Amino acid sequence: MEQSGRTASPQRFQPLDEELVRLVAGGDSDALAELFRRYAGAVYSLAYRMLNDREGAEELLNEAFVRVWRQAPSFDARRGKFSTWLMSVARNLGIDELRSRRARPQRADPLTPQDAELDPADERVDVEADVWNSERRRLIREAMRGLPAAQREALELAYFEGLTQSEIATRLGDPLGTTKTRIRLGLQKLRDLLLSGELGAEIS
Amino acid sequence: MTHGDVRDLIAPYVVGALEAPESVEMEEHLEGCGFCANLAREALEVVHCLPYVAPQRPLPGGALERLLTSISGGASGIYRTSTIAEATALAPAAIEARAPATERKGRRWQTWFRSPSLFPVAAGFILVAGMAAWNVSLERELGSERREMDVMRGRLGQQSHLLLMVTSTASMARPLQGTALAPSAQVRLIMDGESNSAMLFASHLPPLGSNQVYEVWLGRQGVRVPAGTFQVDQQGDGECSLQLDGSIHSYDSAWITAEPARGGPMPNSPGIARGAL
Ligand SMILES: [Zn+2]
Repeated sequence: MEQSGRTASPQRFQPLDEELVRLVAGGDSDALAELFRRYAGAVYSLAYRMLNDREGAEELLNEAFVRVWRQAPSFDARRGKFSTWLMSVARNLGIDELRSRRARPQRADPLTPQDAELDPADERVDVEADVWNSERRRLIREAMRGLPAAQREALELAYFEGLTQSEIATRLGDPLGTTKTRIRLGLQKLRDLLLSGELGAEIS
Repeated sequence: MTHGDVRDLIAPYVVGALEAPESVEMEEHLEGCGFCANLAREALEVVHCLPYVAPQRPLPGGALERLLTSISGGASGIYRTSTIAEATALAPAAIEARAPATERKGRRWQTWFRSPSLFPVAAGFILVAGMAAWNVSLERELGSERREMDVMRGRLGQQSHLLLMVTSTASMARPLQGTALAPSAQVRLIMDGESNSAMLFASHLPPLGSNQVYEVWLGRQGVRVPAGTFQVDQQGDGECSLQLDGSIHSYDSAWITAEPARGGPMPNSPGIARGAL
């Protein structure tokens, strides 16, 4: 179909992320700005969730995209998509920052454990220009809400705060075995929810 | 570690909650065991959704300007001088390195860029791409029969339309434009080349008369092929898993029309929405 030369509404079609990364690798800062437009909201939101402070989240956001700029030439689209890679970069930066904060006594624990309940108010904030990202976020959060609170909390402590199973058990005052089970069941259930057709029916 | 031990630890491993020694043991096992590696990859696809659980925050002002200054050798942030290691993918190489399906996709997309009017919307299809990769690996490593593969792929296309929405390198989305009959219609066709499946998602379509359905048509060189029917709810929202009579890449256009119940072999009414693929 790509050879047909049809041009209906070409303005609706945008370059793929991977194409933009290729341009970034060639030094195109406009392409970087476009990737930023697409994903900065998601990266910043992830960073804020992890670090729980605005300044730290801004630093992380900036650094994640500086790495996109620097590492674009070695990005290999065959190994996975750009957004997955970007989010992994951001999450790893967040984990490292959290560890280094924990190691700094003067900033002993700036983090208050966040309630595992999802904040419904933020649903109204449409900071992502990309409708796909908003939709994806909505669906994933919907699935996450379907988890029992204890499982969700265990997963969030692991993913967003970088805690190990035993740290999570200590934090929540649960036996280690219970924590292990919650993580395992939580991930399994989340997968089932993401796959379930019931959620799909709510797509608007 | 036995396979059983590993399976119990896959979830904490992929969310990064294992202690370092266990993590190393896991990686050693996964490198040598395709079956467990497949399970881990499958779990990882779910983990790739987790960043989007974070509540959305409005971007601080000036963030882009700051980035552009940074890359032009300007202001440095704390990370410039910190000891933070170069970030690598969350997933262990043992898992991510096996992605035959993704590899093929990569090459295909490359050629698509040469046609500037057809830049596909980047839709981010983690799960479908991943599951397709999983299927391919499973076939290779466990010797599943091809027919079984086809059934699995078919089921993937039918059941997991949510995944199509969520997930991307193998899939792409094309908008269809509402015609004068349905100016506010929002319609997206999502196509996954790997599983050769497609789903249509429609919003704000006009209500149907009794005994009517919406029918989707795919065009190929001037010939319209019926591809499925669907109903809409009170908001005019509906969806449809399309039946394809050939490669998804062989179609050049799509329409929706309102038709008598059960649809028909030829369109009987003007289009409600249409678009080039
Ligand atoms: Zn094994």
